Amino acid sequence: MEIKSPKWKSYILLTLAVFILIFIFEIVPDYSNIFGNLYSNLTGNNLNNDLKTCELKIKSLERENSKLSSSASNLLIDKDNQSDISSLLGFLDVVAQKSKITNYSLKPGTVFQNDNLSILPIYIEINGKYSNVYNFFYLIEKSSWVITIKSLTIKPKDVLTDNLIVKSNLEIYLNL
Amino acid sequence: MQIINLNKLNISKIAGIKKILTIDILDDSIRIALFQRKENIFKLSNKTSISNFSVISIEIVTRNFDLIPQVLQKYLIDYKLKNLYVLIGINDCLYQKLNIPSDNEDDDMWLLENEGKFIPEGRPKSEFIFSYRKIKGDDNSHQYLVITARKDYIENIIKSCSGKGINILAITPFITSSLIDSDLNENNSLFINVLNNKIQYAQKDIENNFSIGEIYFSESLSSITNEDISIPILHDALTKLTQLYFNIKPSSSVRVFISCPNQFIDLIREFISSSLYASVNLVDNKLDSGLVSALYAVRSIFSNNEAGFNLLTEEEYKAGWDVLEKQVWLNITIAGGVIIMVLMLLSNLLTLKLETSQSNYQDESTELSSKQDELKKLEDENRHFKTNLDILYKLKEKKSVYSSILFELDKITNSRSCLTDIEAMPDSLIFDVNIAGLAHNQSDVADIIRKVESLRKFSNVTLLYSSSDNESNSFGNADTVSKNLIKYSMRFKYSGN
Repeated sequence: MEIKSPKWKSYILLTLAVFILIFIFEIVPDYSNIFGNLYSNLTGNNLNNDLKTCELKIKSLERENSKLSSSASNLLIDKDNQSDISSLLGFLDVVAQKSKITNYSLKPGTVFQNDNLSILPIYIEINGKYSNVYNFFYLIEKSSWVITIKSLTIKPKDVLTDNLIVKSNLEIYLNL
Repeated sequence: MQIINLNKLNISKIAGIKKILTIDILDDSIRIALFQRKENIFKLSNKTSISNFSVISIEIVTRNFDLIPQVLQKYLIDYKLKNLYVLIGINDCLYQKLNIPSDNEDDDMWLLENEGKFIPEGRPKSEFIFSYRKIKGDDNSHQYLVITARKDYIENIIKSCSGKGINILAITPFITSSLIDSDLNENNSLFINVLNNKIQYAQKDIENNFSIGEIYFSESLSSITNEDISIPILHDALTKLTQLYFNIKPSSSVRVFISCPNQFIDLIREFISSSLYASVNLVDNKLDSGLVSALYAVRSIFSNNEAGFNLLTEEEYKAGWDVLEKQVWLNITIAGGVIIMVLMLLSNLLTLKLETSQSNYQDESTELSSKQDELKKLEDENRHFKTNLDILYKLKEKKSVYSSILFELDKITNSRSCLTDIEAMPDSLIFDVNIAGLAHNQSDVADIIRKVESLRKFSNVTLLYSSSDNESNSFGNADTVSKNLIKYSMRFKYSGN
């Protein structure tokens, strides 16, 4: 393309120069910004995927934790749940009656932590025959709750009688 | 990606010219035709095919220059044109072929200095105007074609074609367009323009050798009413032409383009075809045969940005092209402005959309962060649950130790012995069990030890004492203990496994 008139040649070159300047200083920065953001958007799509993955994991963990919590609640006594405490006392009473323990007393200690678990120590003293004592501890150990016997001392109330005085420390695991 | 070569862009196309009016000044009439380019408006390259043009109007008026302004104004109005671009074809001029030695430094200067050689002898230079163009050049010489015309004749044409909106692009003999047409370079070509009093011819071969000239009829065809008389006159001229051609290019195939009055086209085509064994008029058959040379001149404007030769004065030439170049500038400005606006609009729309996406991105980012915290908490909780449950299940597994110890201890006594004291304390996974009791004699104590040792879950059996001495044991109550009984105490380990 050969423009013959110097006047129009200058005008055309000037116009093209203006367009090139507008393009370089106005359009190019805009589009570089746009393409930069497009890249972020692509990352954003990953973010969206991450969010979905995270939500799925949360749901899965919530379900699993709920099951685990339910399993734990079957093993532990809920300290804040009055019905559980009364159930524990009722359970000990029933066990004593079933074992034909004539007399028993208990004294709870202070709750302490061990391996992330809260433990309620109870000192218990019972009177009964050997078989009754055996049954008493057998029933305690077979309870669905986790109740462990930490020590056991058996002495006869009188020499050569079958009435025994049994002192024991129990540990009851609590669900705090 | 094809790179746009600016040199290959055509000014006329960028200016948006779609129509060009040709005024072919014949011996006794003027043939006016309006050509239209049918190409896509975005096709801006120099390459243009002959088939891209159509004739939308043709009229023949008497050769009276005073009528031309009215005719041109009529075209401006009828076709609603703001600018009418005009190509004027003349047939009254002198053709001269020149060879300038190639060692000449400046051909233009040589031609200016030798102006006198191109005009008829004895006539003043000021009465003539000429245009030249190099057709061929090699190491030895440069071949030029010089066209000379009367200045008053050209000025008269310019004057009659002047007016508002009329832009003369060139005044040229249309037949010379064939000499600069690059599409004809690949074949031998012969252009014939039949007028009332002469035949003009322009011949070019593939090596760019050319010849141009005129053969006059013995009598003007327009003055002959009887066709039987005109035929021999035409035959004579055509015979001379073919002889002339054979002298230049014997036995070569040639493409012949004939521009002539319609009533003679069949006759001339038949004669030329049979004489030269040539293919004739390879353009649209519907085209008026008188417009063939004008069509090539129009194509030359869209292919070469010029008509080849131009007898316009410098001033008129600039005026005609000035309008066209102004239109180029306007179109570039409009096109550039539209492109910039579209790009800016697009950029704004994209930015707006991206800002929305960005906001969503930030929301999602915050949500993800919160979800990740929640997930971490749940994972901790899960780990805590699993650890605790693991501990609890292990505790639950081994918690029936004491009843088991009591059950096992019940087996070790018999009717001759008893237990008076049992203590059991856990020591890690193994339990320390201390027992005390009474037996009738030492062999009963030994029997107890033997039984304890026989039990799989008991180990490390240690007898602490076995004595009838009331003082030596911890049992204490001497009054109640028979003197015949032996007190014993032993310690052992209990393992639940």
